[in-house]
Amino acid sequence: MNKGEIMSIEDTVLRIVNQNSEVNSVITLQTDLRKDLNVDSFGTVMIINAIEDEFKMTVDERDFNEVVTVSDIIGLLETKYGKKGDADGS
Amino acid sequence: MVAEFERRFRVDKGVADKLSFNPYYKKMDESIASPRIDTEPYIDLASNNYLGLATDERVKNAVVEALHRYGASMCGTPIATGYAGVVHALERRMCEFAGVEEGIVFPSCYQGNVAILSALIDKSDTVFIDHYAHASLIHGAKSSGCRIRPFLHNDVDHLQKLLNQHGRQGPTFVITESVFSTEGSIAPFEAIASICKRYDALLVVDDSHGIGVIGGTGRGILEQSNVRGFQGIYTASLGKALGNAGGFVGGTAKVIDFIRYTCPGLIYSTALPPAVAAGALEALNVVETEYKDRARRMWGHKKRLSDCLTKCGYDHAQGGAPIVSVSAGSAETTIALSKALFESRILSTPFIPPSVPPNRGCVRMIAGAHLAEKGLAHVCRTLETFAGIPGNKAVPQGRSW
Repeated sequence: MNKGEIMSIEDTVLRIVNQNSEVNSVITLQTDLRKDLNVDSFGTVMIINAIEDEFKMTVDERDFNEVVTVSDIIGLLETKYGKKGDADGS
Repeated sequence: MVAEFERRFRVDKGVADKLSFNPYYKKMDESIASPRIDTEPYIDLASNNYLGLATDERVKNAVVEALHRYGASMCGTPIATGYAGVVHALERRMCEFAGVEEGIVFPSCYQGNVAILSALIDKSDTVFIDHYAHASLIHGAKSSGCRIRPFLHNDVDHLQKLLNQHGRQGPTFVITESVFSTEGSIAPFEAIASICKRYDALLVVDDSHGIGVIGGTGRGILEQSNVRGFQGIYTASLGKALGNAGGFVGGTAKVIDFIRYTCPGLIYSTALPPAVAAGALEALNVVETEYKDRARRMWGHKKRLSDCLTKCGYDHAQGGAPIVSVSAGSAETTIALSKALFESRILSTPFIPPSVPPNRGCVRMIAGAHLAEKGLAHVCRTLETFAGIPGNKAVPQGRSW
């Protein structure tokens, strides 16, 4: 994985979380979805839906049970779903 | 009990235990106009008795009269023996009042919402639902097994974006509330209705906290938004401003007829007692003649409480409904504020996760039109006293109290 690919998936996930958050604050990779953004179960569904739209894939909602930070989402997409490139899922 | 059931049925009462206070399921003695708990009198800011109609003499008399005429229950479902004449009369009156073509009454609005959504939505449909929609709406939509796409709270742009991406892939529902009960925010209903029309989406609105409360004459969200000939589905509780119990579901004659004959949650459920229907019917009479005066008192109370909270530095929601909601943060801080109010003989409603998102605990107070000046003054004095306590986490820190 090259640097450009890492930035691409990070930027995409950061944008998705930002666009689907009820809280207006600066979002980083370390942002805690529940503590910092008050993301509840329906908020998680919103984020998952947006990820599925963006990456054209299906995500098992149960995989998000262990997700705490934005970085965890990226890790999940990379390790379980093999997303290493851009938002088109290439 | 097997270990799995032990785990599944566990209720976390850690905060209540820590604070030695459980605000839920308080055993109420006497009416909410003059509530007593363990013989002690309290001021009710916890109920949804917006207009004070639950204990209105005319409403109570209508209930008693119908009780003598029909008995305690019709002991049957609406499709069998449960469809009392007064229930039919209530349905007709609610249609005229709220502004829908046809309607039907359920034993509760929660039951109505779950029942109709599970009956009307197909597994292959898509539902767009406000992030903060009531549990009954979420429950109903989920029970259909359809694809659910929440949109950001009251965010028309987000809804439009989602509809643009997915709104023409088959039958589509958009579900929202008129007045959101925890913070009193009001949906941008005209804009949502307009978008639904554009995308051929069937709009479902729960007006439980709007009926009898908003609109020029208290007729709710359709009056407030000047929507005529509403083609969507309208639901409302009869147990809040209308002071009784039950739920109303309104819509086009075709949809209501479909519900009437196919909705299991209606057909197989014992009907609303006629006496309760009579009470709601009489409440509508009172609203039609006295809304202006009662609303003036209700809104005046809301303003007074809001002004008090602002003056004292409380973080509170600025919703457009007569709901006052103090943002209290964590579950512990939220319950602690409710406890402090309770110890001052004030009943409030604390909302903690999962009823609200994490760290968005709030304490709701609704000051109904019936609330006496003396009681309201006591509430304001109490809130002022709390604000003066150093370290009180319900008010912003960093200022000298």
